[in-house]
Amino acid sequence: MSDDITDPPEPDASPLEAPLDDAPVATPAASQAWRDRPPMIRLAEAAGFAFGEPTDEDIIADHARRWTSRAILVATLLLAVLNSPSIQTWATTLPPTWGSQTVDDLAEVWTSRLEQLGLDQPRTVVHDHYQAFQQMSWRDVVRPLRIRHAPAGAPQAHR
Amino acid sequence: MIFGLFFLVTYASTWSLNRENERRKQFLLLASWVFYAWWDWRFVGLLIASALLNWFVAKQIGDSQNRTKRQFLVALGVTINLIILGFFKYYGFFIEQAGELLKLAGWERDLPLMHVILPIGISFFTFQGMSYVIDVHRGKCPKAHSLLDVMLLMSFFPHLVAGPIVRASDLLPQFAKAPKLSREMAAHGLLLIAWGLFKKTVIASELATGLVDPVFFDPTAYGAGDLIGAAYGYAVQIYCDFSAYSDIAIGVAALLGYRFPRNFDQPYRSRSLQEFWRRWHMSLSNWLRDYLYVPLGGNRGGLVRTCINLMITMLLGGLWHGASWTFIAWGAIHGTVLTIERVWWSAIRKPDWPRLPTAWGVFITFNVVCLAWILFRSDSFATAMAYLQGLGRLTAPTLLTPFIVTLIAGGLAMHWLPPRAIERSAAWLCRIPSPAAGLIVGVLILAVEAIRAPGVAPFIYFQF
Repeated sequence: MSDDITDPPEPDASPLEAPLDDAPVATPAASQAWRDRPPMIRLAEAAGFAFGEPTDEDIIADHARRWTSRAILVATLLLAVLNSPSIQTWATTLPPTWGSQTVDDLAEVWTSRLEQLGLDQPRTVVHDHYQAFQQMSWRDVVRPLRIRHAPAGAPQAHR
Repeated sequence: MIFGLFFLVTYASTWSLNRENERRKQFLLLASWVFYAWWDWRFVGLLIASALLNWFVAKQIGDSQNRTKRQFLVALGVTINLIILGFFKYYGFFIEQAGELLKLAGWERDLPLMHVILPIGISFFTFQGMSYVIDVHRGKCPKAHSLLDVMLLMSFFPHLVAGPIVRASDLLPQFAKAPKLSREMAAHGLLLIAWGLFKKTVIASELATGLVDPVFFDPTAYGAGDLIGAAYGYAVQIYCDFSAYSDIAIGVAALLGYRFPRNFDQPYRSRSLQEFWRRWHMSLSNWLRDYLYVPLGGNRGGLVRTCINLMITMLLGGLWHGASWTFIAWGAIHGTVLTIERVWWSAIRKPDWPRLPTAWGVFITFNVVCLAWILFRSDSFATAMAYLQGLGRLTAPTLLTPFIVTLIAGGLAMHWLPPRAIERSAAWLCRIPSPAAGLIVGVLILAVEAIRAPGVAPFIYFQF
């Protein structure tokens, strides 16, 4: 809040705060050149058949984008399979329309099929353990300690 | 879930338009308006009008060489922004206060009360608009190339409703270029999103429902243990809530190829309140410093003037959060303690006196911040006073279960994680193959989904 104070030193620069000067620039001339190309060539380029020489930076950026897209796709598929109860819960919260009813029906079928395959188990196991922890009282925390420190021959507390 | 689907569509569409930056920006603007319209479509017009105003004023400032005209224009731009903010956010408050004052003076009148709906994120996008106009006037930022850039600057959906307040000088240069994604950025973005979801849906949400909301609803029903626990719990809740939003916003923007500034930096490990404001809501504290404290004179007018400037800045910072005296009182507490710190360091403390141990500094600062949070969270002064009186009521705590205590301890412990822990994890994550990275991120989000409570409340800062 004071203007005589510099920001605290940062141990490592964040990748999100890297200087932007290194990033390649899409100049107006380049954009215009792209627009001036015949539609078929633009379509082919957009489909991945690049004409002309891409720069190293373009190749690196394309690889990074593919890496990111694949990672997001895998994470999404994993969640769609192992987190199906959330999809169903969400579907039930939608306002009642033909579309939301269809989504709800599909989510119900999807969830029940995955439950038959046992794919809801990882989520259920974590959820149950977490709920048990939520329900714990201080007595539950202290009891194992008492048992551990009970003198020899003393009656053991019932668990 | 809806936001997840919205993001997936936006992500795929945005990168498919990457070869044409203008169309990419047009799509992002459209997506941002859809995002905003999801809450209330009527206020998309306000967003567009606000952007149009700031674009026009900044353009006139940029085109003019006449100093007087430029000063007039910047004053006009700031005033109109403040009128917009004042009407939507403070109209009811000011009318109510005016009515009270007239009543005290014996001139009781029926003032025109209206129920004005507060447009979500108005405090953020008007501050952003003002900073753009002022920066163009100061020459710190060139005027935008196009109206589209200013529209997107103010409407870009990751920061639209609750910040961070991204300056034009940070974002406009990024809009001028076709963004390039790097693996580091993507991995950082994915981890920030997962971490933000954990903080919001697990820690903040559970603390709110299990401890903070019931205690603040009726503080007289609880003893000192629960009240102290709820004050600490709220400190953790608001940090986990607001920093989670910032993390998710930064992560989403990163996946779209844009860099946002960091907004939080382990604030509860601060040794002084001055340091706290360099770590808490950094985009707002920097904004207040650059556009309010420094123009008031900063620390250039002697100790007394500095203290007055600090106090004004913090009072207005409090008012920015909401139209209520409790927010102003919250700002007053921060302003007072900042003033005491300033007087201590400048006028009282001798150079040869030993420094306060770090642990004591952190402890005192944290407790001052928690004391101020009680006012911030209370819906009225009466509630806050009842809360503070209850601190002397020694009864056994009823809400501080092992689970709640673990959440509070965990929320505080994350302030002592190694600095930039997420960035370091991202540096590792980006080196592994994408399916493995996707599995890790998916498992992290699955774990959060498995343990989070159903029905998570909206982010606290949506109301500001």
